[in-house]
Amino acid sequence: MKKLLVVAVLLLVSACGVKPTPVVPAGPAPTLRNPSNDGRGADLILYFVLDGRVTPVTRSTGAAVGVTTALTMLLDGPTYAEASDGYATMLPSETGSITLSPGPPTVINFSFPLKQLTSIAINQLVCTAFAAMAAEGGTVMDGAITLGGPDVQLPAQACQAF
Amino acid sequence: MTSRIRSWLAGLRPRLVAAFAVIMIVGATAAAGASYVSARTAILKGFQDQTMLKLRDQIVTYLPTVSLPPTQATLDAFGTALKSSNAVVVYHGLRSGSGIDPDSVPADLRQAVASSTNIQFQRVDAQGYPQFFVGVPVQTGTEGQTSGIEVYTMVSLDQQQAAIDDLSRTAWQTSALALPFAVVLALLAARQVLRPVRALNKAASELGQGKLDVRLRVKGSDELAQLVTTFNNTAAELERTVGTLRTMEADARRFVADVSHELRTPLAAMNAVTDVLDEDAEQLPPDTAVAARLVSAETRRLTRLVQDLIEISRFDAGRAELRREDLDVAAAVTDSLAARGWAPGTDVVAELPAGITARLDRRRLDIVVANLVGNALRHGAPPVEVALRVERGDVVLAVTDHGPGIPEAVLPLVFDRFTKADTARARSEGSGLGLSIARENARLHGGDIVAVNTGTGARFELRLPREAW
Repeated sequence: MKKLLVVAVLLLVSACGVKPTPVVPAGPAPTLRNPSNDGRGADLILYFVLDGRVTPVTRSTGAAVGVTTALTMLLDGPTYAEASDGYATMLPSETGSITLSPGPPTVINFSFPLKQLTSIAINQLVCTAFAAMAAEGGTVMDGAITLGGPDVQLPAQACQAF
Repeated sequence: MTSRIRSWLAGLRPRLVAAFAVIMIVGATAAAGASYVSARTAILKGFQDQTMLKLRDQIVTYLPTVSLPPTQATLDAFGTALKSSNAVVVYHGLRSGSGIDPDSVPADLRQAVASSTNIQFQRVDAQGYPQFFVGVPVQTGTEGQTSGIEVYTMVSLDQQQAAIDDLSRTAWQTSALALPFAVVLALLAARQVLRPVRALNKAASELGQGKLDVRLRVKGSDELAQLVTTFNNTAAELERTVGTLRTMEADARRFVADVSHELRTPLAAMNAVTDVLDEDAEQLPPDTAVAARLVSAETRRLTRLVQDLIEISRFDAGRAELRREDLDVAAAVTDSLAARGWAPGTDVVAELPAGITARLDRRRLDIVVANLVGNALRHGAPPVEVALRVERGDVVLAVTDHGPGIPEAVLPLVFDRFTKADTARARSEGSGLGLSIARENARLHGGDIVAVNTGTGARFELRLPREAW
């Protein structure tokens, strides 16, 4: 009885507030495939929108593709399978010529107006371009890409992870 | 006052109150504590999981744009991308420009992150402010190697702490709120139990004082009701038994009284005959004379016994009358002694100061004095001292003899009827009722007689109030 009481009191006293913890493991870490020795170049990363967040989608292409090809595939939108998984795009389903002029700063020109695009849509373009350039193994830029359209040239920007 | 408080504290009510309060507090505390603990876990887990998930998603989103080995520019861009998490990106000696200071991260956590491919977290108490650190290693390849890129972030748990403190305060207040309820409930329960107990106690003490017709009303069918029923049955049985005994005793006394009365008439005739026989004894043949004297003596003894029985029957029937008159007690006692031929001398030593007056029944005082002095002369040894004094408004008459005293075993029974001090002496001169009658007379006056051994004999002290009450 006495022991129980002591235990109860100890529990009451010790159980208040936010207590420190030791180091606790919580789930696997994210993986970065090194293009130089993991053949990451064979994987194409496209950024679609999932639950309002820009999310990478991996597509196997068998061979390395260039930035313009990757952007063209991005503008084509998610596949049926991806769409049924919840992926969507904020970009217009327009195709046209995409020209890349290596920098710095790297400038990518599109044939459709950019003014009407949401920031998420811009981010889709920027992140996909960055991923494609990283996959090519090219030294990546100073962290910024300039997008240009027939109507406007946007300021240089980096891939945003919301 | 303190003793009253102590007796109240020793009662059933405070014990019930205390027990109820303890049970209620333990229960409320356990419930509040359990909900507190689970709510705290939920708050912390929810917040921590959200923080870790957000950081991990951000890293996953950004990672494809990173190539190894990263340059300072890459780290800075990475750090900028993770700005909303206030995270710092570390790669061996390099760190991103934004985010928390990597040196503030606990060494344990840094070591764990550097050597594993799992996300790690740790809660740290920084001078009373809880902080939540997350370390995310970036693994590379398929075999789970560490890439060397580590992301750390720290979130303050102040708001969560405040919410949890609020929670615990609510829990305590809830527990405290339970206390008055517990006390009220306990008092109600105690009332429920104590009321019948108090009634029972009162009834039992009334029963003890001789009110045999006391009964309690039975309410309900619980243990207390059973107790009340048992009490009622006991009281009823007691009343019945006592009633039977009283009837029997009254019958017996009436029988004795009747017999005594019936014996009086033949005894009167016998006394007349024996008087004649006594007078003529000298002219009878010697054998016949002895028989005649024996019959005469026994007849006198029987007459006295019957008189005593009649006297005591009157007391038993409550028909004894007291006729008080103003007396000079010394003169009355002297008269009593003289009337029986006990003149002050060698056998009886009287010390009777004159001038002590009292309102007493002369005849009854005479009976008492005769019985006490006669008893002393019969059972004790001379000289018998008769001393009169006044003590606190009472008249006290002490009769002291110089005999063997009264045996200790008989002392408490000496005034009972037919008590004999010496069982070996089957027949004595007295009727065996003398002391009983003496005490009944004393009590009729509102006084009493007590018997003590002085060491050199027995002493009987008659104590009578000088005035009627």
